[in-house]
Parts: sequence; structure tokens; C-alpha cells
Amino acid sequence: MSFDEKNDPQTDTETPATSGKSSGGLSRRSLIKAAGALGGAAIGSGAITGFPMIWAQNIKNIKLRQFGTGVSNLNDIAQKAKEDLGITLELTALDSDAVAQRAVTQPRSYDIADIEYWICKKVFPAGVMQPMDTKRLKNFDKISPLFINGKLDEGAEIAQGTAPHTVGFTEGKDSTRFATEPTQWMTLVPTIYNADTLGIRPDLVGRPITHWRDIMDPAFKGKTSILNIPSIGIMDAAMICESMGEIRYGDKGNMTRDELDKTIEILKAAKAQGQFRAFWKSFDESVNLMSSGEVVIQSMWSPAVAAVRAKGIACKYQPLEEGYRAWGGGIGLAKHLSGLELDAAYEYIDWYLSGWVGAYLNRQGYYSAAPSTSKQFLSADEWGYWIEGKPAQGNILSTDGKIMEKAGAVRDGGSYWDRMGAVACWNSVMDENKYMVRKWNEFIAS
Amino acid sequence: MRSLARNPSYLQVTPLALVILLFLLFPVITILVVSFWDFNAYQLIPDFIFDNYSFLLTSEVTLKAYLKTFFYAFTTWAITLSLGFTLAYYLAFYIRSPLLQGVLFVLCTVPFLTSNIIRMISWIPLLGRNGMVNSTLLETGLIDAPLEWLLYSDFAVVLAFVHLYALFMVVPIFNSMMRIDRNLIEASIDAGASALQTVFQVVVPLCKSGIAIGSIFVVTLVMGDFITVRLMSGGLSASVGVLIHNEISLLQYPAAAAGAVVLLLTVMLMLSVLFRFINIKKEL
Amino acid sequence: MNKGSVELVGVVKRYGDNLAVSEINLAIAGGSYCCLLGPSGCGKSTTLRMIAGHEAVSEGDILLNNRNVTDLPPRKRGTAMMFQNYALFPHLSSLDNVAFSLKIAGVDKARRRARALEMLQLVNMESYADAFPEQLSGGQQQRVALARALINQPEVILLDEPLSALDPFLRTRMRAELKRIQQQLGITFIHVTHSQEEAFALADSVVVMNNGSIEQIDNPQGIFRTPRTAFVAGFIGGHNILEGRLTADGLQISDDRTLTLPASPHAPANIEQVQVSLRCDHIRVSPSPFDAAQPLPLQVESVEYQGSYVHVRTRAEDGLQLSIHQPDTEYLQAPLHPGDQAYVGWRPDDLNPLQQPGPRV
Repeated sequence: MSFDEKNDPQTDTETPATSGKSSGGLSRRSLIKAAGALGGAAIGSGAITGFPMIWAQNIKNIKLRQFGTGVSNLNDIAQKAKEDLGITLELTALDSDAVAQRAVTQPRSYDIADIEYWICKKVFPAGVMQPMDTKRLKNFDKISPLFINGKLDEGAEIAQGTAPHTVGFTEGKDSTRFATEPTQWMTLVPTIYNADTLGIRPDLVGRPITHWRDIMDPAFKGKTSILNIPSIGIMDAAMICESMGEIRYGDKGNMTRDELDKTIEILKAAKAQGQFRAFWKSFDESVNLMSSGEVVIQSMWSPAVAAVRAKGIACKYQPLEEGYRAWGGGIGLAKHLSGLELDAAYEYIDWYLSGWVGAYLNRQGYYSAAPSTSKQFLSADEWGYWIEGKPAQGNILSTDGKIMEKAGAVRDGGSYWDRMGAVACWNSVMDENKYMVRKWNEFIAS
Repeated sequence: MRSLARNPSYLQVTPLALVILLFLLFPVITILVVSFWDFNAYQLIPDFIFDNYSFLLTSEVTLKAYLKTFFYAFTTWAITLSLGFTLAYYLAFYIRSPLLQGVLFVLCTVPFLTSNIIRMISWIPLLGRNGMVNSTLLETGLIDAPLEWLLYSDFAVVLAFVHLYALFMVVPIFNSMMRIDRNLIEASIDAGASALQTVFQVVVPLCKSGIAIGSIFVVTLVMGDFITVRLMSGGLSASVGVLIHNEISLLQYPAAAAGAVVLLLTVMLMLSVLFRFINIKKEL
Repeated sequence: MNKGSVELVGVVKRYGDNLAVSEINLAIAGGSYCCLLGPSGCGKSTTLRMIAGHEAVSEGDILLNNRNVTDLPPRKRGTAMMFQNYALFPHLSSLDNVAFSLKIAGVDKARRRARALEMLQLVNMESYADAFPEQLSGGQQQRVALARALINQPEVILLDEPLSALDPFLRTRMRAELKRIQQQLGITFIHVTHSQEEAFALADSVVVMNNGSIEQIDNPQGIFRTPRTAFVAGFIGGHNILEGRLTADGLQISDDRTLTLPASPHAPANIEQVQVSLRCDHIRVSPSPFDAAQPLPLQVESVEYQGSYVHVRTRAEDGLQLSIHQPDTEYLQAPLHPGDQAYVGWRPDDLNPLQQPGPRV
């Protein structure tokens, strides 16, 4: 630790030219090779930072294996990374359960993990990943404060659940314990995050929807759905129960057994009365349930709403008084990464924060980790529609150039600050996780 | 070494023994061992505790899930059996030309060349509230309101199971039937038996092993299934497999392993009862 | 006619355009043992199955005891079939196999088992009552099958190649057994076989079939001594078939050879292509000429010792070929060897004129 810290300022001042001299007769390439081969953490992670030019050539031959849920689905990002950095990204997309499993059980099968923060809470303590040195990330200070201290602005209230900043840093380079304050060692650099709420069919609900409890309205009997991923489903359930006034939670992201019991009882009663048409587990199931009219109000993900609308079916991502259930993901380094590959990974992650990716994700309805950098890659109209919640001036196009929203449209829920500032709870993993899953199974089997 | 040289038959069984060891015994033992471990949200903790089992065996959820699974297994079994037997009987005894027999048999298997998920999912637009079945029934005036129980119900689950697994019943029964000496049917008719009597007194007893093999396929497949139940019940029902799958999803491997061990024992118990009725070796 | 008489009147069986049985007429006396003899595919099994009711009749009628049973199901006919390979139910014990038809008829367990045991006693199989077919030898299975056929006291038993699955020794024994039971019960047995030996040993009357038609109906002696057609003579074996032109002098085989025919009051002359049969064991053969010998000697082609007789094959330059069964005593006195000259002779009465093969449909 101290060794690195001492060296860093020194190496930062080095220039390519001096480096070339100091290595004497050795060519740059062979130096890098030797450094990589030695795998010395000091040289590998510290000394090279100063001259990106050199390894911008070398990392051309590097292949990084990234797997995960969110950004790992987006081949455009891999293509752009190849163009800008020369790195070959091999993407594997899995559902979040499988990601968590694989992250823990097959740590050598990936170089970069693209995981959600609540998964991170499970995975990081298993010692299969290494934290990132924030000093090596030039864009670190551009990251939204939501991920640093949990507050979008001063005076904001920190939401319940696994708020990203609570698992965003470790106590030290080799620690697997999460730090309570920001440190130099970051677990994940955020990639995608969003605020989830209920999706509705405005044409079929027949009345304004304003609260989470509206999903339990007897008028929608047999026409509602919640998602059947226990760790997320329980949070939606908690939002609903709290909205109904049945339960007051200490922390919806970390319920007590008693709270879980009560929540599940309410769900079971609703299920017995036939309130739910189905429970969905995957993206496409939720899209089909909604677009086929099987369901008129359900918990939903933002891109699923977009997918339903893309079919020409009215679908609204309804903001609710109680606020949103938020989630976020990020990319982090596998424990086994070292040397040149580690360097390449750092470069890739820094590039991630530099704006292009952020803009790309914004156009898909997600938020980016460093809003200020992505602004440079968005048109004013796009920035206005997606981030500021203003009516679109012209047509809003998707990343593949199709019209997503016509001029005049306003984003459901408004601006970035309206939405991310109204997060009631983050996706989380509970201390009573084991008990929660048992209760959830009880609900499904009832 | 000497004993090996003296008895080379040990060497001959080595490859099979290795395969069984590697692909059957080793995984099962691993599951068994893990089922006694402890776990938390992050990791597995090697241990020797009975908590997983004590919870599993005392939980009402387990009982409910098993009852549900047995219900699915039995209903699916009964329907695939009657369907499979009838189909196989028609193919084996009514189609005289071996060519046509072959063609029809292959025709039976054609749907099975597609992914079973696809076959399952394709029911959904058919059975939905605004699906083809409901809209047809509404148009013809047979019903006034859409039938809700067509989809996301036990009916849908059993329908999908029957669709998925009927062939597993047809093939072994057809195979058994093709081995029946046609003279036996005539001998039965000669003895004064009606067609129905011949079926139950001669054909059914002689297809017993085919029926048993088909039943083993269907019952074990249904008992271990989680995806069909999840998709077709819309997640509203839980079979044993669904519970195990949920636990695996949340990295609760020891609990899942204990569930798997209990399921394995249950299925093996069911099979051993089945094997009592038939001599499976005769059929293979 | 006796009880158990069977009559086929103009019975035809077609499979699509194929004629399997062409208009046969056959009367089988009740209580007799009748063998349908012929090569495979001659229609004998089809005929049997039509009598049993397992095969629909395309045209014609089948009468049992002068009752038309053409459209009756098997069980209503008073026949019982014993299948080739016996067709015992593999899942039932001997006793239950025999009792099967009584079970179908709804007879209670104790009674049907007692009755079945009686049947097994008749075929000496009572000690195997609990054995399953796969535990029985071929002969034992056959007895059980017979017992099963007999249990309903049928008037006619139909046997489809009942002995063909047995080894030769057992075949001979079971043959005697069948005959014994048939005589003991006095019912009609119709037995399909392709072995003339079996037919001769068992039958009161033999029906030789070929190509879906009946070639000859007679008792075994009649069939063997005076085969009616070249097919019959050829099929039953032990006959030479000679072909030639019918002239006033006899049967002209070649320019040099005319065989004297038995005196016949109305033998037409000058008919081309006349066939006669000549039994192999009615030809005398000798290395030297003898009284009744043909003037021209033949050449010995092969000599096979067969035990009671020696099979000598001879050929003349004019194409005449003769198979001869020479008694072994004669052979030992003056043995013939391949390549030897041999003189042959027979009585004119031994030449049996054959009917021209009739026009085939």
C-alpha cells in the first residue's frame, strides 16, 4: 500500500521520453513485456500509468472477457471499445441470478464482471474480485455523487436498501470488507442504473394510477403481475405493502423476519383471491404479459416499457408518490487480473466514464455514471428529453436510429433529478436473505 | 497387477466404471456432501449440519410443492399414457404398411426437433386471454367472457407437459407393440375375445415394460421440471423443481442440494415401485 | 357327412389385384385328418385362415357341418386354430394359456382351471401347468397350444405348420401324438404343411396346392402312386418326370427312344408335350443288359449311398435323365460307379400319365 502511494506521484511525472531513456537499450515493447511477465503489482499497476501512448498499442492484442447482465448485452459498446482502444471485449450476457452464481463459483472465467450492486454485496466478500485504484481513473471525479456518498445533492435523504455507495468502496487494496466512507479503492464503477416503478396500460386501467397500492385494487383482479425474482420481488412487495399502510418497514432493503412474515401473508392473501395473473421472471415475459393484455399493471423495467411501446401499444412507466425502487450495476475487476491485462482493464473502465458510453446508455433510457461527460455526446434535445425531463423538440431516436418518441413527448417521471432523487429503496440483499427466500417460496407454492 | 492379469474382465469394465464414477457418482456425492453444508448470502460454509434437511422436511411449503408435483406427474402420466397407448396402438396394429408406419412415426417426432422451450412458449399466444382459442370461442358465441383458466393455470401446465412428453410414452409402447407376435392377437380373437378384451388381456400385459419405460420417462421428467411449471403457470405454482431452482438462483446451494437429494430419493422410490412390476432388462 | 365336416365352395381370396386363392372347391369329411400340402406361397395358409375366420373370404362360401360360416367370427364357427410358433401368450402360465378362452367367456377361475388341467392331462403336460411359455421346449409349447385349441371342444382344429419349429426327432414324435389325439377325439384336423412326409404320415386325405389352386386331392397312397400333375410329382419327390410326343407306339422322347405306355383304350395319338411320371424306386438298374431293359444304356453321373437305397443319377446322350433308387442289396451285388454304363428298365404300367397343367388365371 504505502509502496504504491509513494511511487505514484513519482511515476505520474514521468514522460514517455524519460521512460525510454531510463530503460536503456531495451525497447519499450520488451520492457512492457518484461513487466507483464514479472507481473509485479508495483510496475504493472503503478508505473505505467504515466504513458498511455505506449500501451495503447500494446493493449491492441488484449482480449478481456466480460460477463454480466446489463452492459454486457450491448455489442455496440464492445465495438466502440475496439475502435477507440483496440481492446477486444468478449461479452457474455446472463440473467442476474446466473451472474451472481458464476461470479462466485467460476472467478477465473471472466476478467471483468458486470454486476449489480446488490450482487456485488454478495460477490465481493467471496474474495473473487479486486478493488480499483481510483487514482488510476482520470474520470473518477466525474462520477455522480449518488455512487460516492449516496446523495444526489446536498440534503438529499439516503434511500433504503443496498445503496450503491454502501458497497462502493473497500477498506483497502486487499480487503473484502466494504468501507463506510469513500476510499481510494472502489469495488465497481457504475455503468447502468435506473429507477423502477410500475408499468401500466393507460388505455386499459381506466383511472389514474398514483400509488404502489393500486396494483392491489380489486378492479384489476387477475390483471396484475409482479416479478418473481425473490430479491427484487420482495422489494416491490414492500413498496406495495407500505403504500397500503399495512406495514411500516425499518429498512425495506433489509427486512426483519416479522416484516417478511407480514409481507408474505399479504401477498399470499392477494394470490389466493386471484389478484395476480402471473409472475414474470424475464424481460420478455413482462413484455408479453403487458402487450398481450393479460396484465394491465405490473412491476416492470424501463426497457420493457419501451419494448411494449415499440409494438405500438400504449404503456406508461408510471411515477408513484412513494417513489422508485432503484437499481444499479457496475463493472469491476476479477481477482486474477494482473499486468498488461489489468492495465487494459483500467483503460477500458476509464474510457467507459469518458462520455460516449454514457450517451449511448442515456439514449436507451438508462442513466450514466458520469452525466457531465455524456452530455458532450448528446444533442441538446436529447439531453433535454432524457435528463432534464423537457418535452422533446424533435423526434427522439434510439441508438439504432429508430424513432422512439415523437416530438413533444415528455419522459415518464421527468428529469434525472426528479427520478433518481425520488428513490425510496435500492435493490438489495438482506441479512435475512435465507429466510426471505423460504418465505418467497412459500408464497409461490401457496 | 497379477489379479488384473488373471482376470482381464475387470479391465474391460474400467471405462464404464470410470464414466459412471465421473458423471454420476461424483456429482451425486458432491450434492450429498454440499447438502450438509451451511451457507450465507455470500458463500458456502463447509460444515455438517442438518438444518437444510430439518427445514425441508418440516416445511409446509415442501409438502405443498410435492403434492403439486405429484399432481402434475400423475395427471400428465395418466393423459400421456392413454394418449400414447392409443397412438402407438393405431400405429402398430392399424397401419399395415411398414413404410406408412415409418413415415407416421417420424411425423410424430417432428415437433420434437424444435426446442422444447419454443414448443412451450408457442402455447402462450394461443391460450391467452385474447389468444386464438379464446377469440375463436368468443366469435362462435360458445362463451361470453374469455376463459381465464386456459393460461397460467394447472391446465396450461399439464397441457404443456403432455405436449412435451407424449412422445416419450409413444416410442417405448410402440416398440413393445411391434414386438408382439401378430398371431397372439389372432389367438386371442380365436379364443373369442372382443377387440377390447384383446387389448386389455393381451396387448396391455405385453406392453407392460414399454408402458413402464414410458412412465419412467414421463414421471422423472415431470418430477424434475421447473421451467414448464414456471412458464405455463405464470409463476403462480411451485413444483419441487421450481423451489430448488429458486434456491440455486440465490446461491443457496446447500438448501438446493438438500432439496435435490430428497427429490432424488423420492423419484428413486417411485421407480423402484415401478421396477417391481416389470423386468426392464427384457425390453432393452 | 360326419360332424366336423368342412366344405369350401368356390372360395377366392384376393389381396388387391393379387389372387392368393383362386376359386377352390374342397370337401373335408368330418372326423378326418386332412393335410393341405404345398410350397410356401401356394395359398394353403390363407385357405386355413379363411376357414378359421381370420381372413375374410373374397368370394365363395365356407360351410361347417353344412352351416354357412363365411361371415361368422372365429369363435362362432366351432373351429380352433393352432398357430405356427404356437402363439402362446408369454405373460400367462400354461394353465392360464389353456384357460384363456374360458376366461374370456366368463367362466369362474376354479372351473376354468380345472377344465384347463384336464386338457393339459390329455397332452401329458399337467406337470407344467405353472410354467410360462419361455420355460418350455418347443414340443412342450406345442402340446400346450394343442390343449388350448382343444379346450372349447371344437369340431375342427386348424393347425398352421404345427411341426415346422421342431427338430426332426421331436417332429416325428409329435406327429404321432397329433394323430393319436385326433383319433381319440374323433374331430376334424386340418393341418397345413410343406412336408410331404408329414402329410403322408398323418393325413386321411392330402390336398396338394400350388399357386392358389388345388392340384390334387387324394389319400397319401393315391398322391404318391398316381400324382395327377407334374407339379405334384415334382413336389412330393421320388418321381422322374419324362416329357415327349405321344405317338401310336408310345411316348417318343427322342428320335432314338420311344417308351411303351400302358395300354389305354382311348389314348389319343400325336400330341406334343406329353408328360408322364416314373417312380425312382420302380426303375431297375444294372451294369449289364437284362430282359426288360431299355436298349440304349445310360451313363451314371453320380451315386449316393442313402442307407436302404442308393440314389443313382443317370443321363443318356439323347437328353433323358433318370434318378433311380436302387435297393442297397442289388447295389452291393454289382456296384455302379460314376462314368459306368447302366442299363435301366421298368414295367410299362409304371409310367403314370400326367395331366397337362391347366390354364392359369
